[in-house]
Amino acid sequence: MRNRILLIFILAAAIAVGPWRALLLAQGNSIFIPLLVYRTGPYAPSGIPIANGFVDYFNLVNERDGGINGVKIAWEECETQYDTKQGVECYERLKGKSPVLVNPYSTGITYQLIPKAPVDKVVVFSMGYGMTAAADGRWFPWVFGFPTTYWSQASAVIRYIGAQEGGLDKLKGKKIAHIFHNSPYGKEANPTLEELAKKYGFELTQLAVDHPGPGAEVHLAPGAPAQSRLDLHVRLGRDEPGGGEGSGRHRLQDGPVHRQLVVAPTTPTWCPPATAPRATRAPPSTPPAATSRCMPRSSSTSTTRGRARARRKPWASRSTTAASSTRCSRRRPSAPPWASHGNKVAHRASRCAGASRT
Amino acid sequence: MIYREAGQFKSSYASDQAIFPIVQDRWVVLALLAAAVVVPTALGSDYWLQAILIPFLIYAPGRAGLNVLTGYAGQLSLGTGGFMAVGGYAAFKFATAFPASISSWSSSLSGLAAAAVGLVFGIPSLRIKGFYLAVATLASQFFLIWLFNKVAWFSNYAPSGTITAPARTLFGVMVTGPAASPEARYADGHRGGHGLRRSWSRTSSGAGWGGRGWPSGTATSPPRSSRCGRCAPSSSPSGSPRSSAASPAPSTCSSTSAARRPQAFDINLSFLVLFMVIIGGLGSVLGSFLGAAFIVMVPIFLVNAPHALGLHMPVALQKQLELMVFGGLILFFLIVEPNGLARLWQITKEKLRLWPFPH
Repeated sequence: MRNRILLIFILAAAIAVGPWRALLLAQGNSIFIPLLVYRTGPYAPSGIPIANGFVDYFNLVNERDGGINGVKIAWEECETQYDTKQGVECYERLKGKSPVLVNPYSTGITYQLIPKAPVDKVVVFSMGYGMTAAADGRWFPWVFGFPTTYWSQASAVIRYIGAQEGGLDKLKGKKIAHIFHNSPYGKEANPTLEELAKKYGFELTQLAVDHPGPGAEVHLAPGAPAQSRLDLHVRLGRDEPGGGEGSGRHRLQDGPVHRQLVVAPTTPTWCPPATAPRATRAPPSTPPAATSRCMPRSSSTSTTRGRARARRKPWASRSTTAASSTRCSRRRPSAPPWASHGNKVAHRASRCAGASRT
Repeated sequence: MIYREAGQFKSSYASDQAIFPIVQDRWVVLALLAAAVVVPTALGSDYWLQAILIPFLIYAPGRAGLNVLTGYAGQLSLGTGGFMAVGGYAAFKFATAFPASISSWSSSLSGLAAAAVGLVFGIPSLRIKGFYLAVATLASQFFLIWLFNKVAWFSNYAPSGTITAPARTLFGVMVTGPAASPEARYADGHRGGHGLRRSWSRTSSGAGWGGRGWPSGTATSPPRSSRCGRCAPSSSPSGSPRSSAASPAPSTCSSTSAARRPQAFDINLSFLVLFMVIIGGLGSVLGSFLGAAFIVMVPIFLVNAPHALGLHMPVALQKQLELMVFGGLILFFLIVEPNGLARLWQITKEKLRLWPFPH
């Protein structure tokens, strides 16, 4: 018991002193913004630059403009490790400093804070992430989702893909795979995508990737739908894992996969990047015939636009579609699909990617 | 000197095997109970209640439930997080699908749901000896989380799969939901702590007359039947008591701290609770509290300590230091006293019996 009592006393002392210091810091003429960051843990590779960006910008505003209307910005970082429980603890600790707003930078934490916001009278600013329904200010006066929500992002992505295809009506019958982080962050856009799939008639495959994400290999898992015919990756959301890196179009991410839209190659304008296939260790001297696989496989079935709509053939289920692109068509077309084997195809893909970058 | 037991005679097995056989201990426990009611409401801040005491209340019964299984019955479980998820989601469903008269008791009812699930996964342990239950519960852990993730009905079709405790009142006081005061939630957390009482009664039954075969199975361990098979006649399969005791924890968890998602109940939580059992001390009620207090409070203490001392260091460094110190402390305690904090306390007590005299 004594251990525990002692511990409690030490804790009590620590916590009793803590708020006083905070009060001293936050007094003065300043706007206090708590920074919930994740500089450690599995998401640190994206969390560190984001946190640094915030700090740099606040410093910039303070130094260049002398703050906002002459009022300096004060902030305090709190480490969440992108973990909801720790994030809420951060919020509880920092809300006593009367923050002007709280930017949780995690959808999971945002969901926790939304019910607390009207009670604590704290503005929750979830820019481009968080709960979509909270965009309706009639019911969520303390939550701001400016400038976008996951749902508007999802529909923007589908519109963009539609524009690439030459119209939203062209999406009919196409295959779109949504690879998402299996968390509130990843799931939130799904209802919109399902609705749009019904509306425009494309085939939607939802692939969940569990925390913390096994990396880019997910695309290469045999049998994963559409994985061998990647054409376009678009990532939604500005918060969290990797969000600061911009949309990763035509690139597989090196880090954990968080959310990617993968579209079947209706517009084969690129080849899978060299980093993607696991089997790039293939022998360097690949027969020239093999490289031709970068041609759209079924060019005979091309549409009038000359773009191949590579229909999947049962005998070419896995390997031959790995790299279907017109970019590499300068290579000699030949070799029936059944003449190829997985290893070679992967290598072809990598060479092809090299070609497309030039 | 402080713990003078002279003159405290036991005249029955029951009193001899009581959890607190010494009068002084009983007084300390009563004083602590009183303090648990008075202190947080009197001087506790929001932060105290929300970040420290309520998580402590969540983990203590969960850990006590696992303690019955691991500490007393000698079986290993890796599915605590999953059973807690059952409790949490059941509480959510009870609270949202039923009228207010029932839903106020959702956290109690959810215990029954978790007990039923625990019963199903506990059945294999009746036939097979050894670590089989660890495998069964490991499977249950992944299955249950997958289930809650996959079937949207459990989260009332919320797009993000997050569940939030609706506002509910108990005896006219709002105990859950955002508008509930931390004090009310704290009190409600105590209600959730009734799993503790349950595990308490389990413990006494295990140590007393009824369930004598339970701990003694550890010693004899017959070749074919598992030790939990032995306790089955007198009680339910091992999964049931522990999961029912574990379940109030998450319902407290979901009801007191608002939104939850399945990932919050992943296997890391199972490990965390298992570590609480090991660090607190196997087969000890006091260990439940000490282990939970250690795991919940020490990291928070380590977070706040540098600030309190006026040290300003980067948060990342602070987090890494926290992990190192916390891990180091765990190793230290396990090396110094493999039987856990409860045993450390027992040693302290024995020393205090003589103090200040050397002999």
